[in-house]
Amino acid sequence: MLRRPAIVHVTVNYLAQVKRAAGVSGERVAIPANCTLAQLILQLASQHEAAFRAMVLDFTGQPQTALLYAVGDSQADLSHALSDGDVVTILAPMAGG
Amino acid sequence: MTIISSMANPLTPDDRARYEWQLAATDFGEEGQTRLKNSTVLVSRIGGVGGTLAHQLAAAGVGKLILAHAGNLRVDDLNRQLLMNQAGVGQARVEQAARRLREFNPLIEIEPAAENVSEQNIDALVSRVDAIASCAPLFAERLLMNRAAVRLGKPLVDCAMYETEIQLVVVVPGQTPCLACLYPAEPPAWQRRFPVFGAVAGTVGCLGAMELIKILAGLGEPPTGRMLVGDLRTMTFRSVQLRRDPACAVCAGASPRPLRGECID
Repeated sequence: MLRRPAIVHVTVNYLAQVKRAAGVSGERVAIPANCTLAQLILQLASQHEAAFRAMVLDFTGQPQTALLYAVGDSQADLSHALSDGDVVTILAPMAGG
Repeated sequence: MTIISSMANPLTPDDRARYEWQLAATDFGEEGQTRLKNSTVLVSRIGGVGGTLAHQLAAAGVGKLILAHAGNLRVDDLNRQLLMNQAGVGQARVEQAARRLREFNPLIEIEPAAENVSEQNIDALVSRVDAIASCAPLFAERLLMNRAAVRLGKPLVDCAMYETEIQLVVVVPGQTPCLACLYPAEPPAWQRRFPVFGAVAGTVGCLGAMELIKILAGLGEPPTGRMLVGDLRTMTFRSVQLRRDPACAVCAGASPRPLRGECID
């Protein structure tokens, strides 16, 4: 019987102000198998600077719901369970003009 | 059945001469042009994005543009706000934009409003138009327009940019996710200041103008339920499939309304 790996890898892309706060446009991240999007955000927050945490966490320290998350090319909820090889995008609202 | 003849303003010989090159577009023709001529669009802010968008709508012959933008031109606006000019620094932006567009196309009507959209004026502005171009630098202003669009059943094209990135969302009340389905509120750390190249702002302004032309004329297929995301730094574009939030505080109870181009026949 095959055992599921304990660790899987996802690619995270950052857009707009989240990218600026992260300091990188994207990164490959190791996460526990069956990790949800919310758990990924918490892990990323722990690995980045304060400006990033302020962008992706709310005042209670939970993942910010006022951002848009996509897995692949589809919008995803924070409860979405991630799989090995998923590409996650974190989008901040843009305005500009 | 077509009812072009019953529209308030049929095409004139001047219209046919001016728009000759687009009248030949497939599935557009005199009917599409007549629809544009009898349409009104609210353009919220006429800066780098909205100014280019308004310029393209004027070029295409949208009958009336209501331009909402408060404040005077600053010299640091001039890297992107193409309806302005150097001599206008210190003067009202919206009057310069209106003058420029009237000079460019005297066949259409331009109504300047020297104020930004607000809780006080939004319903009065939106109730008079067929569609909304959302191009404001403040996200709170965009959410305000989104609420009015849903409340009054008007399609909204949201054009946004940051540095070399662009986003475009078409909101059709009752049919598509609205902006609040995507971003229920402005993130606390969101910053107003944005790096901007005029060419990036103008790119998304042109894309938004074309979506409005399509909606008003009943041409092609707007990217409903999708967000166009692009980065001109790498010249990459993609669509993100969006979902309506069944608990959305803004649009959860909204009934489907046809796009203007779908309800004229």
